Amino acid sequence: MGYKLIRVNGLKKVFHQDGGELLVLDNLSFDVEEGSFTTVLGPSGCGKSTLLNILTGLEDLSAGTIDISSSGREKVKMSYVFQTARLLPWKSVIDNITFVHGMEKSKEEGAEVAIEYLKLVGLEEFAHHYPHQLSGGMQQRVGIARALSVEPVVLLMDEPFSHLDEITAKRMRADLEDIWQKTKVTIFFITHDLSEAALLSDRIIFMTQKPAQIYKDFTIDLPRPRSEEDQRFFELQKKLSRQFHLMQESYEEIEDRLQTS
Amino acid sequence: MDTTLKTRLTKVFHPKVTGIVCLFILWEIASLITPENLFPNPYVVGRAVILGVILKEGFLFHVGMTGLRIIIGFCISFSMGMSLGVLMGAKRFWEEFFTDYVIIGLTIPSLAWAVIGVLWLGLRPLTPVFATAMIVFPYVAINFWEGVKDVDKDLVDMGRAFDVSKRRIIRHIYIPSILPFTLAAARIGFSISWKIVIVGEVFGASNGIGYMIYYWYHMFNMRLVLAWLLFFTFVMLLVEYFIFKRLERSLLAWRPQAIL
Repeated sequence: MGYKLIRVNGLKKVFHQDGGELLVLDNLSFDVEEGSFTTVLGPSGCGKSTLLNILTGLEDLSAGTIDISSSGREKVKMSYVFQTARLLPWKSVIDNITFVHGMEKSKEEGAEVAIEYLKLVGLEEFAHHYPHQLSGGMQQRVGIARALSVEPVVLLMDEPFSHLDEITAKRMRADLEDIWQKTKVTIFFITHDLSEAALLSDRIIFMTQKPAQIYKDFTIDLPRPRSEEDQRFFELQKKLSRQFHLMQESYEEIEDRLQTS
Repeated sequence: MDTTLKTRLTKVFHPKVTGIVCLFILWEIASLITPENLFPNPYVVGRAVILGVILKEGFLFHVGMTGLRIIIGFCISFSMGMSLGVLMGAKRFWEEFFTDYVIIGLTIPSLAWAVIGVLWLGLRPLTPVFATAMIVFPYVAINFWEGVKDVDKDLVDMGRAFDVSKRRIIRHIYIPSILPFTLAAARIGFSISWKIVIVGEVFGASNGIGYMIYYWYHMFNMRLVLAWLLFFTFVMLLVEYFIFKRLERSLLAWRPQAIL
């Protein structure tokens, strides 16, 4: 067992709106091992993005604790890949990357690092293009290069391939696995795509519909790179999909019971 | 019509040049069927532009006064409108507070401000500036208000997630997003400013282009009224092409070519 980089305990999130209260995250507890590829899998609108926003500090939590620190107890650097690339349209690819670097890097250093990570995602010759000159998949690659260029310990990814066509998404998944193995970064990945989760993750945390709770926690130890044609992968997917249906059914049952009572 | 013929025709009849030539042809026709003192022909007016406007004594003084009023009025209304618009775009409370003020500001007739300006300030050289500032600034405010609201919140969140400083977020996200609205505000603000200054000069000044138009109107001299108007329009076209178009091209260079 590796070091537990992220420890979430009893996390709750309540939104206050129009005088009412909406419970979005209900008592989540889990931890993320250093260097792992951990995925949160849940239906659309279950509050997965809220969870990420809380982890990055964009939103406050209502109850519980989050501890993200290295074994030396110092603050851990995190970075973020969004559903859409979120590039500044008025900046070239390389300037988009150096934009997030802050003060600790000089201009030349920043540019050097940017080029290095553009190489990693195979886009170094597009460094001086503007985002609108790139395809959706290429833009998302720039987003990944940008996130990696701050040299994070944890990379948070919020359904990063959900807006891409399936062929592009497939290639990007394979590339992401490569990058992950090369950089040793800890990836905390969010998706509603079951086979995507099965293909990439060391571990899958199933989340229920709102208010989201953890339904089940799977460790996946199939060798990599996994292939969709592989019999064992096929079995895994079947198992996961059965769990997913069970979860949905139990959820609907609760709903029904609530409605009849 | 097949496409090659079409492209060849648009090459011969450049749309802008053809448009201007058409204007002069229509003008000539109109002048032929109306009395000379109501609608002098382009040649007569053109001669008047040179002999009766540009080469006349006091020409630079009148043009300078009008130019000065436009610039002062524009700067005042632009800075007031910018402050109000940004405040309204950024803060919900002030947005609701000022919405009706802006709408009222847009509906008050320009003539009313011109008259009020004269009554309050008397016939002073800068009286037309007052009317200009009051009339133009709601238009500028609306553009900035929209501009600030239009800033992509996802991009701002991206910056925050990466711990980019507030100053850098303002400089590299807010300002570039608002830039096209700033340009629109400047254009609209400027084009209204000069119209209002001219009206203001009719009422409350004893010099400037508006005053000269008014003067020749009193003399029933259509030729020189049109000559001053033609000269002024020409100057404003130069401003559009040599200032605003250039600014647009250099500030918004990142945009896809198709939009420009």
